[in-house]
Amino acid sequence: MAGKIKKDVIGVCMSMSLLLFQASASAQKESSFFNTPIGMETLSLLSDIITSPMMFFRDLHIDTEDMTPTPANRYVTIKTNFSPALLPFIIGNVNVKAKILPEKYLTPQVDLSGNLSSILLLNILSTVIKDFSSSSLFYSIGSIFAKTVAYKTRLFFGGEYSSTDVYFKLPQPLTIAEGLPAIDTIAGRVYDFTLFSGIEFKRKEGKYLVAQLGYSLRYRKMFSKIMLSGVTELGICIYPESPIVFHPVFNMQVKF
Amino acid sequence: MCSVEKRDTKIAIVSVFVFYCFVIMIAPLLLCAQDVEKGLLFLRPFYSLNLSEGLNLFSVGQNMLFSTNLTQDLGVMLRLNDDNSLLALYEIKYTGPGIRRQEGRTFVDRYMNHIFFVEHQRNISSIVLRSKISYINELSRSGANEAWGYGLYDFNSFGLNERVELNISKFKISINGNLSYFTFPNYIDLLSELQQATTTQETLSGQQDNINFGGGIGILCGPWAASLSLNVRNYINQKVIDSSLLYSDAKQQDVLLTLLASYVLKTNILKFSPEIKLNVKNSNQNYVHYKYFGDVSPQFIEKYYDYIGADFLFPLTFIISNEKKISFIPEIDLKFYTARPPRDVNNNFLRDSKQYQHMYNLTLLYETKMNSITSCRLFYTYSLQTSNNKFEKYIPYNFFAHSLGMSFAFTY
Repeated sequence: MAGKIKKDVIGVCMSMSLLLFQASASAQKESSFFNTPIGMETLSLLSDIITSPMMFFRDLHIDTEDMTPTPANRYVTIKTNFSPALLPFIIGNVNVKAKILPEKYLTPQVDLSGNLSSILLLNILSTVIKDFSSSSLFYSIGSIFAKTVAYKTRLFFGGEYSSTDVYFKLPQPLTIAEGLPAIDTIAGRVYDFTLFSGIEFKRKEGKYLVAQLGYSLRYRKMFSKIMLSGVTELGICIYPESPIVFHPVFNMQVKF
Repeated sequence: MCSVEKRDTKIAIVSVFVFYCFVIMIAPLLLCAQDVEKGLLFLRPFYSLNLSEGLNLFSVGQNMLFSTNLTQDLGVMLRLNDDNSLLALYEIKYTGPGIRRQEGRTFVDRYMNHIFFVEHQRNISSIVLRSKISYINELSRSGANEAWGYGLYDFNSFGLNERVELNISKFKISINGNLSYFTFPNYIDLLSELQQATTTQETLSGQQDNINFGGGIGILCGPWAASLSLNVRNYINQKVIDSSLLYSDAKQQDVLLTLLASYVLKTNILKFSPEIKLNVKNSNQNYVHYKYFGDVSPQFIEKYYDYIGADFLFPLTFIISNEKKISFIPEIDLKFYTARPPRDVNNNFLRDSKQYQHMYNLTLLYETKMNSITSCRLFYTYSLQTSNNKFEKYIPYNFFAHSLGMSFAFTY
């Protein structure tokens, strides 16, 4: 009962903020924010995202994916992305990585990695807003090969298949600001084959510096991740061809 | 699923399949690092990831531009025996805008390169023989409506390079020859389209396809080095415009002669390595100038692309410690066109003089090594370009710029 009330409160807050946003849009002519350089840049950014929303969701999906090898003395890693997925976009996500083969003299370490995510915000909105329908599912599966090349240094490479599927339809078209296209329906599916490689350096026991670069075969899109990893993981994802090039990332993980 | 998506899916599936076959077949070989003295294979991998972010402030045009450069090198050296080794390298590089992807009217050019090469090195007494094959694929977006793979200046290049290095007394002499084939699958000839606009002829593609061959010789003696190289580019389809303002039967040919001299002075705390480069370019291509669309009296200028260039570089590095360095790099780049007249602000050629461009750069660089794989660079560059060409409606010729940047390199 308490959980249901909490869910309703969150849902009401979300829909209130959406309505307030629309109200502010109607008063946008008198607002001075969108006439400022930051406001105009914000408008341009929103326009880019609205024009190509699936690429933006694909970037958020990549933020939640884990393409690094399991530590040598661990077997399973479970990771979740707090930012930007959970906050502010409320994308529930979990990444599970398991070591299939440990590293030996002649063979690399082989890991299997899987990711599952969904935009929980849409689920909440569809329960509190009438005539709002939505669905979303992000998943990926891949493998990672890692080999120690020097003291505290490992090189790794791998590949994965991923799918990003989003659908939502608003009860009526929403104009966020004047000059932007109205949002009515967003629907699309992006599936992708990605190859990646990187380097891992062990700074201290349980703490790593990881740098990697990935390339999407289907969309010819590059991205890079630089992470400081421990119990939590802090880093940055770089998408040169995306509306937002730098995504600060914060993950939490458990290793067994 | 439409046919384009089916083709993309097949390409992606084949690529992943090839990748995994490579891993399964090559990985055990790659990871077999055994002792050279026992006559067995020795393998050394190489990895480098370089991320650079810069801010450029120009005195004209788009005043503030962020730029990104992302480069990854994956390589492996395989020592087959004492006299033979194999080096393979794959590089992927992106150059484009940073912080914000610039689209629409603020569009900024961006490029992506895939470079593969395999080099075999053979030692024969005091002679080293290097044979290399290479493939380069460059994708570009020079317009907001260009998707990757449809860029006007996209090219593929297949190359062969042979290099011989000899040690004679205290001299190290290198002689090299190269042959490359460039194809530009999307390039179209705008002048021909303009001239043949009333016909139903297909756009003329392949005009920039060319075969590039050349050679050079280099000498290294202690701290001194010098080299001379000649490159000839023969266009397969591009014809030369003659004084009748139409394409003749002659094919375009560009010749580039380069002379390079350098010196390295290195002590415990200082490194000074000046370099001088002279370029002479000669092309049989001419230029027809249409001042505006519909101009019925275009101007013909012969040898429009010929120039003589000189580049002077004087980098000075102070080595503070094993991890820290500060560099001061002044550069002067001069270009003098031998036949091209400059234009005034109204796009009229000034026939009594020849165009020149002078670029002056001053760079301050601080480099620090943070751990065994990570290094960081901070740099500032002041650039000044001057020219007697005053027609700057589309391209600035006289400007100054400040560039600030930071780069991280992760290298094994």
